Amino acid sequence: MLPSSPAAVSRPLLDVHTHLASLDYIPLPFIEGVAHNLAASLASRGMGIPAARLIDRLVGSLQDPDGSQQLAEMAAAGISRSVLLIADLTWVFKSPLSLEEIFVAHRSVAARHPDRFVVFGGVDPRWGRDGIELFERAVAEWGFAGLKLYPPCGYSPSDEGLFPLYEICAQRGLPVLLHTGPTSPALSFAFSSPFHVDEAARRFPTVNFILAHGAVHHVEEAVMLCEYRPNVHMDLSGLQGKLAVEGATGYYSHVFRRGLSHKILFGTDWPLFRLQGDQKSFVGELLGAGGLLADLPGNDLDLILCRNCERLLPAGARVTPAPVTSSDR
Amino acid sequence: MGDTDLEARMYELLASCLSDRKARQAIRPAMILRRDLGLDSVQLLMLMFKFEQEFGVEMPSSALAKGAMATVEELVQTGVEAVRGRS
Repeated sequence: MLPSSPAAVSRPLLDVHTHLASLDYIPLPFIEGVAHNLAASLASRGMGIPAARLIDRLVGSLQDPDGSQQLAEMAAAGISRSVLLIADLTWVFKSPLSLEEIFVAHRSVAARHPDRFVVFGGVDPRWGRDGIELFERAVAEWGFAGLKLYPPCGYSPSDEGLFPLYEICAQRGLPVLLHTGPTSPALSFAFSSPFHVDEAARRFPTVNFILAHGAVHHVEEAVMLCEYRPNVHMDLSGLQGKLAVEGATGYYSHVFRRGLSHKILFGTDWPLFRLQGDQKSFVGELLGAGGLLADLPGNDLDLILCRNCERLLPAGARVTPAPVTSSDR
Repeated sequence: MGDTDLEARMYELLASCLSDRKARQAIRPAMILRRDLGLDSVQLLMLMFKFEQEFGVEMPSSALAKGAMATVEELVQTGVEAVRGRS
């Protein structure tokens, strides 16, 4: 049961922003950076916790490589479908799997639950032709439904090395979701501003770009782009970390009341906020009595929670399983 | 330590994590941690670690499932059950 609010009842939710929870895809150095920031924050409040202990906790929350816990949380929260995003961190961090192996693993999980998961493949432009070919194969043959970019790895989303990927997205009607705002301190914040996507959005007007965390970080920039660039959207993932601050609800509330409901997409960023509560609690916090979205008109809610995502995903998006070979039998 | 003492200690731990003096004085069982007491994500982690230091048991994942959307009563109850489960 969702919280007792009319807003939360019988609305399908589509989550445009999740990741498979595993150190195979979210490398340890990324987690270590997050843990060191948390340790500093705890220390500033008089609580000295070794970063190693925090790392253990965070790593413990990343043990769901087949998505089974995620599926259970989705069911409890009323989320009917989730986008699994592959953030390609393999150019920057030593990774236990190659990027292709990561793609294959995501295909395998999504193909087991094709009605529940779709996948956006992520490629760092510095992989060049190899990355482009991998992405093209994943969308053409496996059913991947979009492109995920992680500019904190050290590139602009308007880098020309990405244009061949945008061409593929334009040809196939696929959206591009890119991280904006802060991240693990192990990475660069130089390209964290939403404005870096402006040139790409202008050059590729038929490609829909989604500013991840746009409703949370660099809010005014994200709002401006969403308001005046027809093909720029934003998601609300990451709000979990902001709602406790006094006055935050009022501050973030204005984002949803500026006539941009056709540009905002629901997202949770699972599993990165697991220590702060499950998906059901986040949905409850948004839609329950007094929640940030609770008093929005029904049409606005439908757009944010479901229809915008439906509209941006390619029709019939569905990941197909790898063919069984004789060695598999 | 009896259940009543345990509960009282849980309330003290929670109060020690809150930065707002008024909130510390006004804790009630039905309050929601984030909405009513302003518990943020770092304070939630502080609470978790303080609990573990105090009682020598890990805060169960069920206690964290609702995160800061849990009520004070739910948090205290899961904490008491975790300590009881250990002994």
